[in-house]
Parts: sequence; structure tokens; C-alpha cells
Amino acid sequence: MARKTSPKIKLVKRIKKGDVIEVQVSQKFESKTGLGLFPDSEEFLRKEPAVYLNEMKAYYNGKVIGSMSMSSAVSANPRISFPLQVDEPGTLKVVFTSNTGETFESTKDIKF
Amino acid sequence: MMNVNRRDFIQRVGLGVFTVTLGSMALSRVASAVTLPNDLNRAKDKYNLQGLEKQHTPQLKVPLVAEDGRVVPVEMTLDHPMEEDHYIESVTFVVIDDPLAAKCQYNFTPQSGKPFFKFQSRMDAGTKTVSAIVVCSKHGRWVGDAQMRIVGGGC
Repeated sequence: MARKTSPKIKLVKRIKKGDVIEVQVSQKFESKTGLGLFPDSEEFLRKEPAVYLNEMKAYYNGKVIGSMSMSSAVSANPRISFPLQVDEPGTLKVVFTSNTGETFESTKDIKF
Repeated sequence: MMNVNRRDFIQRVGLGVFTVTLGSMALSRVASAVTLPNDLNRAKDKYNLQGLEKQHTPQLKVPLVAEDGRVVPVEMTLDHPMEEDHYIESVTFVVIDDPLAAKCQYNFTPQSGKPFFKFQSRMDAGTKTVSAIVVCSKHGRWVGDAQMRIVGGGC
């Protein structure tokens, strides 16, 4: 089994009070759709159960500031960017959950 | 917050994905009998937006041609206020004619500050129409789309 890794959070270097920043998050996760092509046709079949990240939640100072629901159609090792308006210093926390119940989380402090 | 599984996610945007299991084998036919809801607001002319269309028609940035369908970048931006009583609640990405039509949904909050979102999607080969459905807390559901071609399928 692959080693469990935490999400990487990337932010711009200089942040001022009131800025709307782009939060870039990536998570190593080898998801699979479980689909395969039907023999001698172009029709897709479910060959095996899908394994994928199905949820991402972002918190700032403990409050949910965004959440994402995903199907297996989001790419493996997803890279996601979402906005955050920063009105006070604090801690950003990102939590991914897989459809098998695994969780991956990471935090990053934001200072002015 | 309530846990949302794939079925709930699809139902929330008014879509249906139909899967038939073939006997006890682990094989099932995946048929994406998916349509967009009828009540979506759509700009009459996406190159000449008028009135509410300007604030509510999602602008999609996708490559014209993507070589690798396993990692297709999709970006949505919108020029809309994010105030407590008037903001973009969510954006949902759908590719109707794809084996995995429902891609993802991001739920904003007023603290998002500005509605934009980027992710990477898997798509099957062929010409695809990516649709983004945004929900405004005051003005309902709006859709915007963009066409692209995928060379190597990624499902």
C-alpha cells in the first residue's frame, strides 16, 4: 500500500488584510474510475470498484470556508485552486476524504 | 456538514446517471443518460452578455485540444459579489456525453471573496462540452459551457 501523504497547500508569499487569495491544494492519491472498455465496442463497463477522493473541505480558523464533492472523474493526484478572502491572520486547514474512508489533512498558517 | 456521496451529488444538480449491473459479475454497463435541468438560466448570446447574464454566466477556461484525457485542466471565473445575502453558493461541472458525466461540485461561502475555481478532470476521447452550473443565492441557477477536444481518453 502506498505511503499516506498529506495535502500540499501553496499560497502567494505576500498577503495583506482583505486580499482574496488563490489557495492551491494538491494531494497524492492514485484514484481509479474502475471503468474499462467493453470488448469489441466503445462502451464502458464497470470492471472494478472505483477508488477516489470524494470530498475536500477547507477551514479557516475552524470555520468551513469551502467544500468540494468529487466523483471518480476528477484526475488522480488532484490539484485544486479555490479562493479565500483573508480578513485576519489564522490557520487554513484542508481535509481530503476518500470513498474508502481514508482522510488526509494539512494546515498552513497565514500571517500579515 | 452533511456527507455527500456521488448519488446525492448528481441528484443535487438535477441529473441522473443510470448504471445497470449485469448479473453477479463485477461488470456493469455504464450508460450516462444525463441531461441538464430545464430550469437553468443561459445567456442568449454568450459573446454579448446583457443585464444579469454578465454577473451570472460562468466563464470557462479549457484547452481547445487536450492530448491527455487523464488530466484536463478546467477553470471557472465569474465577476459576482460575495456578500452574506448575495453570493455564488456553488459551481458544478458536468460533461454530458462523457462516461463519467458528473465531475465535481465546489461550495463557496461569502468568505470565498471571489467565485473562481480550478481543477483537473478525467474525460474520454472526443469532442466534449464542459458545462459549469452556478447557483446564485438570489438569482438561481445559471449555466455556461465551453467546447474542447480530447485526443487520448482518460477514463
